[in-house]
Amino acid sequence: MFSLIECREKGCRNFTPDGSDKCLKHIDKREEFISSAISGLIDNEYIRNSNLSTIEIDSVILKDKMIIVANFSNSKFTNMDFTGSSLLFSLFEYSTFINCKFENTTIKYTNFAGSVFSECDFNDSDIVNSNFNGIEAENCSFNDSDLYYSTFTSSKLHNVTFIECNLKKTDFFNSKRENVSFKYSNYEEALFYRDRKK
Amino acid sequence: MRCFINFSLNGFSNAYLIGSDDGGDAIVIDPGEMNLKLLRLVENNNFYIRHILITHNHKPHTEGIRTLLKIYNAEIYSASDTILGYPTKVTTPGTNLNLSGIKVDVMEFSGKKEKSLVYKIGKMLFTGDILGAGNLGHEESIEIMEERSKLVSSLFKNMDKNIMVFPGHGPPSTIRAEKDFNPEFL
Repeated sequence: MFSLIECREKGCRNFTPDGSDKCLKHIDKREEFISSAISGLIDNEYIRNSNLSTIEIDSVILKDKMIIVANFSNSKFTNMDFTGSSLLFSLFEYSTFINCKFENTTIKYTNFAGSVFSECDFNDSDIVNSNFNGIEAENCSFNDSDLYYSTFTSSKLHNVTFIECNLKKTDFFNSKRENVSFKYSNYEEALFYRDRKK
Repeated sequence: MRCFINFSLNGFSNAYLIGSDDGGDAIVIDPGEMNLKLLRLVENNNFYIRHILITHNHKPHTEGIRTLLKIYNAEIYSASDTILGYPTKVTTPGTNLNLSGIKVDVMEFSGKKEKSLVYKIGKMLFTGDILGAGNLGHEESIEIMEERSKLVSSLFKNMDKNIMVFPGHGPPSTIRAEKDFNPEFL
């Protein structure tokens, strides 16, 4: 399990990475620590019980990784490649993803609530029981993916495709959708309204 | 303090193992199954299960108790007198438990249709079936869900946004994300 210790810096509520009493924003020798953390991500097949929230990573290949019980909330990922990776029980809340590849990934019990996605590709993935509530996504694709029981409530989707997807119990309640395609998907099994809220 | 998640195929439920960094007496919350993975987590961290906390008396959250009690001498804490026939220490709302040095705040979630407990340990909130990431937990009848909606809003309205939510099913979350995007809070 990742650390749930708040940063020692006055007024900061961010959680600290393991072995530190300050968060990534306020940690001493910040550049050195982040560089070492990114090396750890690249070198290890299993990334588990890590707290690297608020990290900013650009152009790193994290293919075929097992990311389990990790906290990357409030982070920024640019030009990242997560192809073939598994993301399980992890937190990516309020993060930004620009031009990131999530092709052929397994994403289960993972939370992206409040994140922003631009030019991201989730094609051919198993995205089960995961949380995309409140996300803002633009020019993204989830084609040929299983989105069973995942939620996009209160999300804003613009130019997003869900072509040939399993959308059984996928929840789009209260979402704003502009130029969104559900072609060849079982969108009639997705949830767009809640009976109790009608 | 350390907290581990153990996923069970029994009702696709989450159990949580909580103990100190140095091992010793530990807490299990909602053991739907005592599987090999949970046993390894306990033994590899030098834990001994001394306390079992139950949020509500549903089998996907309790059935691991039978095996757990064959291995460990543990006490069960619950809102019910018995769980699977085992006597429990009935906990009441507002109670502050001290379980082998780990402080547990017990919050009640009682309506006419269901009774459940929510446990707060430090910055972690264990919500069982009454609050999940972006939903009101495990789907029940319309009456129960309506009741839950009212109770959840009042219970968590003033809670610190930095608190992490660990539900009985599905992914973890934070109070901040739930307040921002869970339709029940909107």
